[in-house]
Amino acid sequence: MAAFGDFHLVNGAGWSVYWRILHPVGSGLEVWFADFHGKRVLWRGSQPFAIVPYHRPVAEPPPPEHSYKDGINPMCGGAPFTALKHTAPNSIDPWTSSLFDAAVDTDAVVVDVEPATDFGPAHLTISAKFQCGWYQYVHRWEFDSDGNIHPQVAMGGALNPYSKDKAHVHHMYFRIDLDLDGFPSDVVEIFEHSSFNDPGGDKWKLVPTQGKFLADPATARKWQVRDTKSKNELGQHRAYQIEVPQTAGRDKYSTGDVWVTVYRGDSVQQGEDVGGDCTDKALESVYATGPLDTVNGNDIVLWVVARAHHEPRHNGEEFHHLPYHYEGFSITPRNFEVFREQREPGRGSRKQKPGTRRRPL
Amino acid sequence: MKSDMSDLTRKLKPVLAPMSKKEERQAVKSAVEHLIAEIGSGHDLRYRILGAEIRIEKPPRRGDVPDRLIRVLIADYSNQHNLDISVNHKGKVVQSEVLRGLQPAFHPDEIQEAKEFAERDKRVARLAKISGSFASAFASDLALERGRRLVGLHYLAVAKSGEVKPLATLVVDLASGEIVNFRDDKVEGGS
Repeated sequence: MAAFGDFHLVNGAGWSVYWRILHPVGSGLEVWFADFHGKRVLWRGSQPFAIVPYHRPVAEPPPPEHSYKDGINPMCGGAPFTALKHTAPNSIDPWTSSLFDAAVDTDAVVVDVEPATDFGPAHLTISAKFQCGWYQYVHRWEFDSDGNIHPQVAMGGALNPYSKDKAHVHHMYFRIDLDLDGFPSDVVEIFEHSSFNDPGGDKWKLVPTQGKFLADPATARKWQVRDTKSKNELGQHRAYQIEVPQTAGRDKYSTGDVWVTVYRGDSVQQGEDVGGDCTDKALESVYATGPLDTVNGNDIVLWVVARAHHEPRHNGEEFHHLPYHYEGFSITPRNFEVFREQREPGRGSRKQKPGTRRRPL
Repeated sequence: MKSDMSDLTRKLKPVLAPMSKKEERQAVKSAVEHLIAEIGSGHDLRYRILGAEIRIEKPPRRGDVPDRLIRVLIADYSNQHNLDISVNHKGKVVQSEVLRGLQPAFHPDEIQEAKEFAERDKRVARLAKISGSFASAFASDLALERGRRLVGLHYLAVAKSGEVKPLATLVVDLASGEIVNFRDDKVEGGS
């Protein structure tokens, strides 16, 4: 068994999922082969890089762009993600010492299986934390017993010691390779709500080419990956939808919200070649290029941004450390399976019991 | 308890087995032999294995089982580039390419070596002796321009108050062992 890079199988809440941290330095938490109730949903999900532009003047990030590319193949003065022991404190200490670095991947990861409650479904959660310069990032993937997936990232650690008061934006990029009941027969559709007058108040449109897309809360815009072959018991095509609730806007460094691309391999187009100009523009100019087969489908890969504008509370609550701030989005099933009968939402999960819910590795 | 794993994934289980020490050794050996054969044995070669990992790629058809490959990343300091070599279960190299413009994450030994090179310089040696000082690695853009393995290092110090003070920012060329850029943060960037 290798210290890092092996696939680890976990189960719970109706899900079977492998996780992996490829390297101690330079990669984040990945989830692979996520299956729900015996059907493949996700080939691979990851959060491989971040683009972090700062207000200026500022010494770090360096000029002329003052925008880090962190994570895989860091650029523009950025840093890689370094796996920490999950017990590492949320403080500046793990940055100043290697004492908190994970020696093996299982030091870094916590798997929780929590039962359904009166207020929500059961879920399987896989979490790990990473040092990135003075920052800490938590990668968290939550798989719910109702089929939902919630990729999340948290920002913690400490403020920029070169300029604690400088505001900045974290643009966190997720790579989502959905394989609904296998590949390569998926199409992408985009949803728009334009009025309350039916028919036509809500519309789905097929996406004919790879490209960059923008979030638009005014039209409740969302995206759907639909399998053209696999159907549920009612003959409906299986699908998963992505909704991106942005709490910060795009800028010249982070230019989109969702990119529709196709699979070109698991060793290429993982974000390693994005950010040479301290922006995400290569996602559009290199990755999301070419037509899509709207009849037979393609092997679709989506890139999705979650972002947060951080106005430091450097003289107050963030003086010593940054309380973890979570951002994320939802990947929601549609017609993936038919719930004809009322059944316990957490099939395969434990009954709720008082006391601790944590299941250590 | 009924498994929630799909038949598609169940077929992959043998491919997803943990990497054994033997498998890793064999892959690294094959990759290094390939590198030496490419360069020529008479060449003065200086390199470092950055890592070996299981590589899975989707098979051509739905339901097929993919090949299990071991991917070996090598920093070739002599030729100032990085190599990505994939080896199959028989130890045969099936793919080899130069990672043009890409710099895999620094190996912990590279960061240590960069610190040792840096602290030969009196300016840096003085900083490294300051109480609470530490170094943090970053990716220098000079690496993209020059195609070299360049390690950026921020030197900082934790004061008794717990506050972190920047000391200096520098870039070390692992091929030459020289500092190629130095910025005194006590003057320019320190808060």
